[in-house]
Amino acid sequence: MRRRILFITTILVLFFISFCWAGPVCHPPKISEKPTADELMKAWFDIKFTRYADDVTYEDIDVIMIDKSGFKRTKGAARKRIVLHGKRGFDYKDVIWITYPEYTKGLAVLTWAYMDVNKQNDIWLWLPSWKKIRKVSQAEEDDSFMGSEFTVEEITTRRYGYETYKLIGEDVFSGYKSGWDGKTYCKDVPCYKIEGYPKKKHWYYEKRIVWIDKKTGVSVYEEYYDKKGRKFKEIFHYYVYPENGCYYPVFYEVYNFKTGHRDIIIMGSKKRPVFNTGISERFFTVKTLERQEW
Amino acid sequence: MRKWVIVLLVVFLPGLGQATILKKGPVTVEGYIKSETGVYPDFTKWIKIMNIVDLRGQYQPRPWLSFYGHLYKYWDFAYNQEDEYAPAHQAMYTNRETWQGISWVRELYIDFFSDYLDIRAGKQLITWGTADGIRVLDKYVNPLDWREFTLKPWNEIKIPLWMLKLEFQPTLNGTLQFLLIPDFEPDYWPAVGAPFAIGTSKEGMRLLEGLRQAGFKVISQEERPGEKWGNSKFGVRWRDILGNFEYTLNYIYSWETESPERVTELFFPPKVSMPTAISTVKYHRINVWGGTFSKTFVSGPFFIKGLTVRGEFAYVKNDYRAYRTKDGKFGWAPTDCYNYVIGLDKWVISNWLASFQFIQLINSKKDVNGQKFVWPSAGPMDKVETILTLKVSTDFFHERLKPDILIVYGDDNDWRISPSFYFEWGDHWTTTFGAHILEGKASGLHGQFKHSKEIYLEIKYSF
Repeated sequence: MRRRILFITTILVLFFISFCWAGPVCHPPKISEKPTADELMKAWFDIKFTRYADDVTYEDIDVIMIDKSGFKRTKGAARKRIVLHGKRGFDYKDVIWITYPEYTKGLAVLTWAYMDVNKQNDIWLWLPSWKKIRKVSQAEEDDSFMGSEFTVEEITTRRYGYETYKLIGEDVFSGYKSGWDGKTYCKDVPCYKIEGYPKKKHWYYEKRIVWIDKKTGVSVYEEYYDKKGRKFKEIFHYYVYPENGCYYPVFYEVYNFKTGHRDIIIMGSKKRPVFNTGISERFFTVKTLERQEW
Repeated sequence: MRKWVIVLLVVFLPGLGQATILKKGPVTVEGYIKSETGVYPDFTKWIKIMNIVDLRGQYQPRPWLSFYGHLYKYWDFAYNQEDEYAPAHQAMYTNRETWQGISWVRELYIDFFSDYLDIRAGKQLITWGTADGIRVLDKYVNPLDWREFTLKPWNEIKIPLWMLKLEFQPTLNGTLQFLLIPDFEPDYWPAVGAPFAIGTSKEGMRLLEGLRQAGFKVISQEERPGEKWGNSKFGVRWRDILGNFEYTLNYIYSWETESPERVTELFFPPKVSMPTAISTVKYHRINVWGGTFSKTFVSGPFFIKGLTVRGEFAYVKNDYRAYRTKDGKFGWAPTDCYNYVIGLDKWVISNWLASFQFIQLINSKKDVNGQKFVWPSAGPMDKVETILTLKVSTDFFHERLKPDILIVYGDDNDWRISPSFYFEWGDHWTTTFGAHILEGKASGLHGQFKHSKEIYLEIKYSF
């Protein structure tokens, strides 16, 4: 009898522990058997903006910028985001803090993004040298993101609705050799190839070709073309594929063929992003920016 | 001795800096050393030769609890180099009796964070305003160090105060802030002889010098508010965001930080051993009501989309201001003031940010018995003073080179132009090269410093 009680208790305890350790549960986008270009791109934007989760925390983000001569600069950041899934018209709200180097440390940005792609984001900055919050308009979308080769649009604002899409076929991705660590990623990954055309006239690119992983919906590789049809930029996204339904972004890498610049955004080199920790929407207000000590 | 301390810091801190920001568990330590050199455009005289050591540390044992300290120490060797600054050197640096609260410890506080209440207790800086380059509401919270006029970022020249700050968040975006400031410091005005000594200080000194020459012993003293709870400053701010319209409503029961009132009493023998003049600075209580707003147009036609409109307003009841008496001396009288700023910011052509401000400072009284109020520069102040500012900034080379230019224009043809070029050499070294060009009448706010135009170079090593 005592053995049975002990056995049942053990099972219950293990069940409770496994429940506690189950970790985050995400809801990745579903991709149909024969998807359209629009369906694929919607899925990719859902992944990119972590709409498969309710919130996400990146404790260590590194932005590494390498110029043509090999000179390297590093910036560090941390980020928290809550996904509001259209609640009161919001797509998401997030806060990003610059943590390195010292001379930019403390700069913090609160962003409210709307579901309506025609609306710009609302942005508040915490300016350490003035110790104050400043409401600012969103930077122009073709401007550089944190001084890198990525544009503001590529990292923060481009969503479904910015471009028109055409499925141009299927192919096997031959792999991407990172200029950062020299390793080859995503070799022989079956992909859909989609052409994207910006709706804006006279934009910084004429078209781009997006390689979407058939299995996961992640855009692994993007090629940017100018008006003369020359490829001037490539972007690679590396994700660890769904675990508990959550996609873990590892790094984004961009290379500009014109300038010879290469930039890498590493999301979680020391600590992985954490999903669904139950951050309150109350956190994403200017009060949080005023907490900044630096 | 001090020179050796600087040499040691300069030699050893970069070594420490190789490890970049020191972060170990809940402890973070970082800082910088900086050299700031300013010269007159004809390179005949130094304006500043400053060496600065800045050290900041945080201990955060829990996400909701933090201890923070910030030390900031500088040495300005221009005062040793230039004979012209000798009187100011004595008053500002070597005579400890005239030292006025400019401490090594810039910030020292404990933080408690929660979803509904944040508490910050200790020595700190508060910002209420949204305006750039001018204090409208902030003037009545933290005083200012005018050693370099207003040519440096506020964070470096605001004088921190010991206070308690409570921030309640009763609604999703609404917060109610309470400030209790038992500490009092006035603005720090550079002594006569310093490059940025203001006009009223110079004239006041001349009047006292006249008394000295008439055989008086002159004693200057300051009558600060007594150290009791009843003399604390008390502030409250409500902030909310309606849609994407952000506003604040502010009130502070404060003290003047730049009192013009200097009561000079004369005593003659046999009451005192020799004729004596005692000049006393007095401070007054003031009530300030105000508010701020900001809104970004996130949609709309081309010119409107992306435009941020912001504003700040303060009504000050019974603010004491100096006026020039008919015999050329100074008197003082209360007047109500209405000060406001309207600002427009917009990104134009990718990474060019243009920021324009329209500022008006309005006194309820035009004059006192026909005598106009005066600026700190001792020049006459109109009932309505209008100031325009324009700041344009951009960046090049992947945000490594950041030039900007600030233009300030007052309606009495009093102006300032400050271009600067900031460059990031790597993860540790940055430099800023720039100039401050001040012009106008000698009695104007900026014109008083038209002979203190400056070219400067800052070299900073962060660790």
